[in-house]
This record gives sequence, structure tokens and C-alpha cells, in this order.
Amino acid sequence: MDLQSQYDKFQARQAEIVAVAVHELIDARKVAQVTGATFPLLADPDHAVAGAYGVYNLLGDGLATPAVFIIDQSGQIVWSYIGQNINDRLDVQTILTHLPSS
Amino acid sequence: MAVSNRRLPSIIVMLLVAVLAVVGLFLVMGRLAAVGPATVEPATPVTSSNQIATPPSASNSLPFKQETGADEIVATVDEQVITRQQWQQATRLDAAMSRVTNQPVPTAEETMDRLVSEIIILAQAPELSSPSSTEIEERIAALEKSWDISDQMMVSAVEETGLSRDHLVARVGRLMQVKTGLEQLSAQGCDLSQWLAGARAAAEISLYQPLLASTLPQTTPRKEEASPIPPVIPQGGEAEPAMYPLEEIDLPGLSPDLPVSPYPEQVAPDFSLTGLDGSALTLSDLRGRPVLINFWASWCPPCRQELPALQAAYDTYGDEIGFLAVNVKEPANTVTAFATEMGLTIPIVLDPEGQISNETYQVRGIPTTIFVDARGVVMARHVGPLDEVAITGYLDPLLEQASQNRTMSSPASDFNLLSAGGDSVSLQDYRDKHHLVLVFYRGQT
Repeated sequence: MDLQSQYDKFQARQAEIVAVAVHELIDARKVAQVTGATFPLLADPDHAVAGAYGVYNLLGDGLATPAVFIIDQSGQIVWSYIGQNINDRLDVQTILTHLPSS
Repeated sequence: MAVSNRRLPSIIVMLLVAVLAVVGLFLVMGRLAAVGPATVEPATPVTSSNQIATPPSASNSLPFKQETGADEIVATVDEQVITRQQWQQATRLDAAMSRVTNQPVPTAEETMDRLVSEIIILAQAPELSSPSSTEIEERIAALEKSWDISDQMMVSAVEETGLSRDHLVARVGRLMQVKTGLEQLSAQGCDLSQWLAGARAAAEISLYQPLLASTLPQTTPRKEEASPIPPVIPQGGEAEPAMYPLEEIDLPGLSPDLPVSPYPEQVAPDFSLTGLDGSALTLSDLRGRPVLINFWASWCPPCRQELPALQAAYDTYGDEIGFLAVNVKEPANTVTAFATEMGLTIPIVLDPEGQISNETYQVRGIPTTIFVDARGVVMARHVGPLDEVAITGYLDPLLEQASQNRTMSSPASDFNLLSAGGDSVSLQDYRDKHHLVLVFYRGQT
């Protein structure tokens, strides 16, 4: 899922992006380097956040399942998608369609 | 398939460890042995007041006409029958052996699973005879020596469960037979795991007794605002209170979970099967609603017996909950005729080779029902027949969870994490400023 190239489309809809993975900060830095992402890449090494969102270890491998949550400005989750396997990722268009019409 | 290969070795290990110890009794049925009456009455009328308003289940809601007592059938493997008495005795002996050797007591599903495997192993070697009583005595003596206990202690442990030394002798003899059967297979160059998987998949195994209600392990910390998903414990009737819930027991040295997959708290593997009308039904199309996946066949008596309850549930909940009745390995004609005769409207799909049932979902005996939540995650796995009370018990928490998501009122959990760029980022940073697309990934977006 290539969010970086479509980042402007999200910003045009008053949306920001944050990407979280269950790994160490140093790994997040590597990914930032490789992908050149300009949105924050966060490290959740103790999987507390993945757990809070109910996506930790759903595939039994100690990592987060690929998932997307859309949280509106008031802090409510308005849409979510949880992948069924490690390759189950959304295309960016689908996410854009579900953004709240601000 | 990767999944079944990974799981089967643990059955083999269980069998081998059991048989080699000749105790064969890491029993599965410890808990049942402790329960009193051998009644089979399924759900008695709903007594709990926090059930939603479903019609009360009368004690004869299930057309079970079971003979109470020793001869009552609890499972069938092809033509072989496992009676309640056999099951209970095996359980009690295993419990005794576990106590004597300080082993943890396995769960009911494991025991039944093992008894089924034993039958399958012995079935392929009908010429095997029982060991002589001398041989059995020698083995018992060897065991007692290796455990450093006296025969008196062994017998006391057995008698505490209400059985006698003769029962022990019979059980040990059978396990020695099973061991010989396994050795023969091995000598033929068989990969035991694969052989057992294939033999079980080919066998017609039906389970009359509700065996397992997997409760949700509370593995993830839940924020207090978000409503936690309550453990899925079906509110069983008074007759069988000890059946639910069963504890998950960690067997040292064995795979930490039962050799079945998918486990609760994992995503339900997707599949696409053909319905009776020829159209394809895909599980992931039902995402967004809880789903009940029932594995069944028309020849299986407990499957037939639970059908009215399933149909009633479909009539009640069919708009909010997806139902998939996966028929295992029967031809389309048979299933269509059966469905017509029974007036079934539950969506039925066919698994003619048993690939989804036996391999992907590791169904060990039918009926087996998987409960999937609206996210697509397995929340419970029930082996054996269901009744209305149990179904409601499983579905209620799923419905509640789904309705929370639907009303979109769940506040997002706050977080505060370090970013690759070195800043600390929290959900609050976006509040009232931006919508946030929060993506969980695995290393590459």
C-alpha cells in the first residue's frame, strides 16, 4: 500500500496518516529511510497500542495484523479494516473513500 | 498443508507419549470424571435473566433421545462407537495416572480426540491382539517402578475415581495394542503425522457430546472506555454445568494449544465454496458481521439433531449474523435432497474434498461450529452439538460487539509513541485538527 505517493490526497481531505508497527524504533527509522515516508512512522515495541486496537497477534505470529483505522477529529473510530493475512492490504483508494466528508 | 502438518505432530506426540508411558492417560477427561451424573439431557430451560428474549429452551428442545447411562453413545468413528462409559472410564483412569505422576489433566476435547485416534490406529490393524495379562502386568510393574510408586498407591489412585485395578489393566492393555499399531505403521515407513491426518480426514467422525467451549483468553489489555469483549461462555443449562467453561491447559512439552486451528483470537482463514445453487460464497464477503460457520453432514446424527436449533437461530439472527453451513464431503444431490426434506434455509456450501474442513479448519469431528466476530477474528470454537441456549450464549457477545462498532461510538484508544523522526506522537495531537488514518503494518507500507 503506497501511502506516501497519495499523501497529498489525504491532506486535501483534512486527514493525516500515522503508521505503527510492532518493532523497535531503530526498525522504524530504517523503514522511514527506505520508504521516504514523510508521515510519522511509530514504533510500538511492547505491542501495547496494537493490543489496544485489537490487532495484536491475530495471526499468531507476535506481530500486528495489517489494519487500518480511520479516526475522526473528535477521536471516534469511524471505520476500520483488519487484514486476514499478512498480505491482506487495502488499496489507498478504498481508504480515501471512507474518510469522513469534513 | 502447512497448517495440518504443524498441528498433527502434537497429536502424535500426545499419543506416543501417552502410549509409551503406557499410561496413556494424560487424560483428557479429568474434569468430566469429577462431574456427577451421566445424564445426557441437553439444555434445560433458560434460567439466566441476562439472556436476550429468545424463546425458552425446553428440556426437549433437542430431539435428542439419548439413553441415559453406560451405553449412551458419545461419538462414532465409522462403524465404531464410543460409549459414555468408555469415555468416562478412560477419563478417570487418566486422571488417576495424572495425579500419580503430577501431570496436568488434559481437556475433554483432547481425550475424545485421543480415543478417536486410538480407534483409527487400531482399525488399520485388526489382526492385532491384546497383550497377555502377564505382559500387561509386566508393563504396569515397569511403570510403577519408573514412577517410584507402589502398586498400592497406583490402585488407590484408581479406586479414588471409582474404578478398579481391572479397569486399569484393561486400559493399559489397549494402549499397548495401540502402541504396537503405531510401531507397525512406523515400520512400514509411514510418516505417522501424515498417515493419521489422512486417516482421520477419511473417517466419518461424529461427536454427540458438546465438548469444548473455547473461552476468550484475555490476552490484550483493553482500554477501560472501550467495552471489553466478554468471554464467550454459552449459558449452558443446569444439566451440564461442568461442561462449560473448560480451562485451557498448558501441557508441558507439547504444543501449547490444542492441535486445532484456527485458534480463538486469530483471523478466520478465508475460503470460497460453492452453494447448493452453484454460486460461490466467500467468507470475507461476510466481513462486517459476526459469522457462524457450522461443519456438518447429513449422515451425522448429532448434526441432524442440532439443525433445528441452528435453523431457529438463522431465522432470528440471519439479518445481523452471517450463517454458513459447510457440508463435509457429501455429494451435492445428497445435500440438496436433505436440505429440502428438512426445510433448511441456512446458506449451505459444499466442501466435497473436505479441504476447508479437514485441512484449513482442522475439524476433527462433526458437528463443529466456529464463531467469528465482525472483524473476521475467531472468537470461539465449539465441538459437538449446539442447542439454542448455547448458540445464544455465543452470539450475544458478538452481537453486542458488532452493534458497538456499528454505532461507531467507540472512542479510539489514545497512544503516545516515538516516531522514526524522533518526535513523540500521540492521538491527542490530531484531535480537532485532522482526521487520522492509523495504519498498522509489518515493516513495509
